[in-house]
Amino acid sequence: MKMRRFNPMWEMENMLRNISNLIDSTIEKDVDISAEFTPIVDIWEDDVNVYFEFELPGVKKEDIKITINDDKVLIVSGEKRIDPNIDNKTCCRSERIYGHFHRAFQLPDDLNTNKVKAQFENGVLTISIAKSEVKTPKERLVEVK
Amino acid sequence: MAIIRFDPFRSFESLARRMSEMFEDFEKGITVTPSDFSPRVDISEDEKHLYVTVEIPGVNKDDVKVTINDDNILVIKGEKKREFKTEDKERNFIRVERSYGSFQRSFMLPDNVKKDNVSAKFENGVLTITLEKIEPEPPKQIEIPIS
Repeated sequence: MKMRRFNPMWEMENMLRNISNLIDSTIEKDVDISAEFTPIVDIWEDDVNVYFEFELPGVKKEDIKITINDDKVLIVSGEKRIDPNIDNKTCCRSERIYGHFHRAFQLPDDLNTNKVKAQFENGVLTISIAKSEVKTPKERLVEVK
Repeated sequence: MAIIRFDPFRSFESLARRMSEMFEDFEKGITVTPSDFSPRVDISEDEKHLYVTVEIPGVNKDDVKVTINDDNILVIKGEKKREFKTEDKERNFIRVERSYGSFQRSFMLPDNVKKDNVSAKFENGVLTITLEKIEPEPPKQIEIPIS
């Protein structure tokens, strides 16, 4: 171990680092700069599943793409299309954001990425991913000769 | 028009009058009621209609109320409920970014819309309100004979 000068704030910094690591375990993997917006999400779990709930108002079901790659990164991306008749209309107020969206999360290892369900209802996309069954650690006796 | 003596403060007075009128308008109905969040709104128009679209994903249709009062103020309000359980199982939240609770937006409508011909549609988490415009009457001209 390297010697280090005593820093009274070290414990504090260490704690902050630990907290941020903890948050990082399910946090965003990478940020796609080309995306016009990142949809907001709630994540929760119960004993069986982990659930992701994305708000995608005004997005069509066929414009949403959900992928999970080998590194267990969940990516939700797609396109929120603007009203096709907009050219015939005059805009008075524009607060809603349209265009390409992208959000990615690193999933924890204990999820079974083969058991994924997705449902899109009322502008809310719900993805549920099953947790793997907890394996009881096997013990093996090693003989001492 | 009556002739009024020049008063250098007159424009200030009219400004003050206009400000107080503005506040009166506020008192009429565009009061800011405390709500937990305000949804995003787009407003557009074409020759015959005025369209208001509101993003309220995850809100039940029955929990939204759209009203127009006598002062021509369109009010969209409701409640977005957060569920804490799925089929008896307690939800253990890891991340909460979505806003829940009561929401409200209100807009002063122009005079040229029909208040009794309003339709609303709720699809994919977007509420679309369509208001019909009154066709403008051709300006009347009265000819006055010169005797």
